[in-house]
Amino acid sequence: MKNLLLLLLFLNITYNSFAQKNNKKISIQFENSSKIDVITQIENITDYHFYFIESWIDDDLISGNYNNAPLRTVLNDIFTNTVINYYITSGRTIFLTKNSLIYDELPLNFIKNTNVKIDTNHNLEPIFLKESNKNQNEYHEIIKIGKENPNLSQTSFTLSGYIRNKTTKEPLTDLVLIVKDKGINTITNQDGYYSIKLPLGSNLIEFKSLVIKDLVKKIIVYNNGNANFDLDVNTEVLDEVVISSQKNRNVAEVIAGITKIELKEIKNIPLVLGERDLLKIAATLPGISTAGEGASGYNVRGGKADQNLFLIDEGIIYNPTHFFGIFSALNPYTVGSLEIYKGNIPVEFGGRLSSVFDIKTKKSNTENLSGEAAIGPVTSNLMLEIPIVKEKSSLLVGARGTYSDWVLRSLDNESLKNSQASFYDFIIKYEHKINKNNSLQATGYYSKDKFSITSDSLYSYSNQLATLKWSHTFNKKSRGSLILNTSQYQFNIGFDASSNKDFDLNYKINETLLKLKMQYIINKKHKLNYGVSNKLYSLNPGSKEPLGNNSIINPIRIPKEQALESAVFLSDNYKVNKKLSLSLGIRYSFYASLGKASQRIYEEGRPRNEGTLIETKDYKKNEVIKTYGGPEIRTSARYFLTQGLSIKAGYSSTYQFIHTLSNNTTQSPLDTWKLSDANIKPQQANQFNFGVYKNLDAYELSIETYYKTAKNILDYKIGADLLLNELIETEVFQGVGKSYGVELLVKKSKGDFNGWLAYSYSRSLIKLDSEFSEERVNNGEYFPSNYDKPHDFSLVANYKMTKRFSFSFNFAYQTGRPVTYPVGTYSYLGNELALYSNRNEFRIPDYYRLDVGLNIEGNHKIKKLAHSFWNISIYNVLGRNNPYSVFFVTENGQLTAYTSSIFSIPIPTITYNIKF
Amino acid sequence: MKHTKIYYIVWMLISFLVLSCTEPFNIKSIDFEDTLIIEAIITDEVKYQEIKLSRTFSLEEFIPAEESNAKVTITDNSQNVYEFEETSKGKYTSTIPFGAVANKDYILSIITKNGKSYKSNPTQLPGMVPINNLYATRTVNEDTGNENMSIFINEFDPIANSKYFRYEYEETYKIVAPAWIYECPLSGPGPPPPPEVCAESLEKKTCYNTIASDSIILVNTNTFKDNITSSLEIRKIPRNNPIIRKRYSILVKQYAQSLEAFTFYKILNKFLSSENLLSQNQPGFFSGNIYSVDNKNEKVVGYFDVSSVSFKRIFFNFSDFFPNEPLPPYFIDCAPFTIPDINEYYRRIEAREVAKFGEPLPGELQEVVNIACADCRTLETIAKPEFWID
Repeated sequence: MKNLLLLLLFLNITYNSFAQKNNKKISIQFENSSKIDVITQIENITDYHFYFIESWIDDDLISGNYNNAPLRTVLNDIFTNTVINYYITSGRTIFLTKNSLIYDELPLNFIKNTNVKIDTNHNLEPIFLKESNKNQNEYHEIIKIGKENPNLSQTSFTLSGYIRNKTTKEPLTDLVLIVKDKGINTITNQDGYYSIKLPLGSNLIEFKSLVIKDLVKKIIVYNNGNANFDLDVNTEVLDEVVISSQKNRNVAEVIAGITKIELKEIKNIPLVLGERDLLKIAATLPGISTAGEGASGYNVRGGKADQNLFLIDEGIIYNPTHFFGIFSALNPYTVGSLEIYKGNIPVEFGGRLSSVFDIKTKKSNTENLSGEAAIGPVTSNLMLEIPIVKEKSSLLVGARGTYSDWVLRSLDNESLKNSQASFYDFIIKYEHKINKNNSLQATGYYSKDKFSITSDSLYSYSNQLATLKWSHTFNKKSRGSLILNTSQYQFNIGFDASSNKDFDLNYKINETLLKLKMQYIINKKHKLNYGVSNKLYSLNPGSKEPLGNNSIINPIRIPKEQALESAVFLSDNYKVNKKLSLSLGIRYSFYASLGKASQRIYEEGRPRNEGTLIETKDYKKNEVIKTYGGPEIRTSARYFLTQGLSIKAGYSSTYQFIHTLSNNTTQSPLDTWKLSDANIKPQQANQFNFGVYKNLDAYELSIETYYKTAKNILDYKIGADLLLNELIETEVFQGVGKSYGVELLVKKSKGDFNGWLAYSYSRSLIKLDSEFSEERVNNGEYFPSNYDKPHDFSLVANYKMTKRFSFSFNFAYQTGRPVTYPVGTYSYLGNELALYSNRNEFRIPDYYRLDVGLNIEGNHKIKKLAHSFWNISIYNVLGRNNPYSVFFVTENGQLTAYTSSIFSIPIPTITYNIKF
Repeated sequence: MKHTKIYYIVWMLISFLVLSCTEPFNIKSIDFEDTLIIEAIITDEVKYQEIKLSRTFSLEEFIPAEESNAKVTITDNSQNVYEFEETSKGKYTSTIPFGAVANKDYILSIITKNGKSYKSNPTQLPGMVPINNLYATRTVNEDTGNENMSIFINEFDPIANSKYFRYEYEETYKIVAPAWIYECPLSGPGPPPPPEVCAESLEKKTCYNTIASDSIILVNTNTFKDNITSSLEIRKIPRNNPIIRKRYSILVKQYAQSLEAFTFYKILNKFLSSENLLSQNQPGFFSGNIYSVDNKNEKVVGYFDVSSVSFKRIFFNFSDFFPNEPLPPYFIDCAPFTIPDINEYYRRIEAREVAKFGEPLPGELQEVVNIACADCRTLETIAKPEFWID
């Protein structure tokens, strides 16, 4: 309707102003006046009247001094840097128009068969709004770009800007802009920026992304210009856990085995002790599992827990868990997205065999101060987004802590009074958009855990991380980023039993990474990713210092270890045709173990021990001790069988130069890391995968299979001493592993009822064979690894009953993990001992658990300062006592069996969340 | 109110996490493996050497399962064959006394009654290392203030050809019954008691007992900063342990071992020590140096240990280290008490559950003490050992 009126107005004006020319001269003086004032002044000194909408006119101050100057000159100057055009009628009326120009003649052939004299001074045709709109019944918002300039000969212009989420002000990445019927399109980059060449005139632009409602805007282009959009996100999707942000990603992504968890809203999942836990949610997806509730590591596709690369804003975090893995060490409110690569790992990542957990903190709000807070029974959590420079830079701060410690201290119970269990973590991120092409990001992270299990020992561990990232866009085709980061993990054990065996033990690992990654789009078919990375490890395996004068503990200081891990990488995303896409990648990893160090050389062909030691070689500082390296292939292909059905296949190989030393059956925070050296070789793995993917209306289906082999997997002799052992190579040996599985995922992410069902059948096997009996396990045959759980089933479902109430539940079933169980007892030197079965010959009972949760939203009054909601959940409703481990000790000469379980009773929790 | 609730939840959580997630349970056999267990420690001491053979028993019941009727021999590479014969169930003793000598390979061979054959790898005697200094000293726990008597070894030979040691000890202590009454008065009314009564009464006063260690004490002197000053604590006795109430003696046996034997005992020791709450050491079968001749994959438990042994004994009195200080308590409570029921009194005197203590005051009941306070022989004791020096 509005358009029609405009057109009528236009025609009317055109009619009235035919062939009118006005060259009135005026004298006027103004200084630092607003344009409106100047207009009023002109109105006062002349008999002209201006017609315009005040909001069109900006507040910029102008100055001028004109003596008998043509009115047109004055007006030209006033509106020189604006999008305002004017038209002077014969009736001494001046119409100001935004963007568009009022034409005083009709274009050629506008009115056919009429004898109108056409002035040919203008080489361009005016832009008719109605024209491009004629088949359109809907209304589209019209955006006019640039100032129409009748003398411009250009026919296409560049429009650029950024697109953000209206509510969170976070950039919307990978949003597609399609110019209807013109075959032009572009995608927003990671910062939400886009740039598109548009033909002059009216363009219907479609905005497409799963996170927004599909939207069409009419953009009338007069000139080069800038347009920023704040779009409404698709709230229907965001109310639930969004596993994939892109509708077609499931079928369209070229590489298989990617899981993306968007953390915008995971509030509907039942909580454990009030904690929203990303990694726990990841573990409900196929291929990702934990050894048990109290295990701090994650096993991805049958890989050991040390084979995962956890990255927060590109910086590594060695232990992403708190309190033995019961909580994850990531503040859920500060996380933007978590992407897990379990199949083909992109070439830019390396150094771990099984997976990459790429965690990105959220884009902070640059407009308004906002935040989120949660109060739970164990921890409290706060996240703030603080704008520093509007639309340019902002700070994201997240903090979380337990209050269990002071509660424990204030208790009357003697045994609890002395126990400790506390943790906290802190994250800060600063983002600065220097300009369209440059941005800077700095992230800092710290987490700390402290606990004592017995009154005489105090354990603590901490993660530290600092990252600096500079992103630069060279041009439309090429962009890159330079990343510098340093990470540290350390733990400490203080043993103070007031005996002469008291000690203080410290362990520390540090790594510094410098990485350059580039992206170059050759053409529509080829997109290159390439770069280099250099990582320096510095590891302090620990020292043990006697505590107190009485201690007979000899101070032990294990010498530091140092190594350099470098890589160059290149990948090409090659779109062969509409159906077939390839991702071809290669990474060459190079590793050098560096001095200063001593390396022991053992007799060939004999088990390594103190007795077969030939000599100890000393290496000077930074002297190369041993190098390893090789190419890592990361390739995959996707083929569309039909539009919503695709198949993918891939092969990837990986190197890992660092190993955890743990003689526990599950990963614990006190496991130490060891660098490969002359005696310990790097781990290597190969994975083949194949999958079928299907999108069906609201459902996404996928079936993936994989076969994986690994070699040089570090294992330990029974009863090995791994902590503070300088002769560590005498306690370990390396074996081969293989794992395979089928993973099924059915997901519904839309609607009031949504969630997913995941099932995987997988096996993870290890073979430790050697000619020496002490380095052989289970007669050198393949046996199940500690985390081999063939059947793994998860069902996560949310049901939104009303706008305020939603109900969710979680069901998990897993085959019990393997254990080594006694198959008899015997007496030796007066003690009763257990004779164990072959390693992992038996299994603990199957694991199953049901959690339920209820979310109650606060009321939705628009004027409310903050939005709040309550979450009530019950973890393990069935009260199933899932054993976590079973172990056997000889106490007072008698064999005693223990079973431990973590959450054996239903655990109810209430948390209160507030968002402002 | 809200606070209290949070407290409660956290309390529940923490107590739950820290305390109650580990609980003992009755082990049930899933499967049973019948395996031969061999305890064979041969030393350089010339004596009747002993070897013990047994089998595993099921998890539910403790039924010692000795392995009888096996043929046990030790051969050396000089073709000497030492035969063993079963002297008691599962216990095999060498037919002649012998001691292992240096630079010889010893092989243990066993043929069980079911015809299965087992052999050890050739094993040599490590060099003998004497115990240079064994001493007792009074120690204090800095934090708790608790006092102990600690037995240490130091002055290890820095150039000794053996670096790996296992220790055993045997402690012997003197017991003096605190409520003992000499039942052979030198003077008094009536005829003197017969001399055997006097002799027996004396026997009730002083007793001895010996207890052998059951823990495996291992040391690798390579880990010592300084072989001379580094001391190894062999035994720690709390100040109030009754065994040091009077006079105490400890015999320490030091077995110099090969690295392989040391490693075997080290692993064995790991399985004897307690576990961490939330993480579990990888358990498993560990083999020694004995294998089945017929089936290499058959599990055989045990180590054929050829060690050179050295001994040292020390004595001390409680008063040497704690002069003029109160003695540790006696093994049982010796506070006198009365039994009002006269029948019950006589029954318990008759049954030697209690003994008279002192003379009753007129009109009061006779006080009694637990019999062990008056007659130490009712405790577990042995005759005065030959080595005992007062």
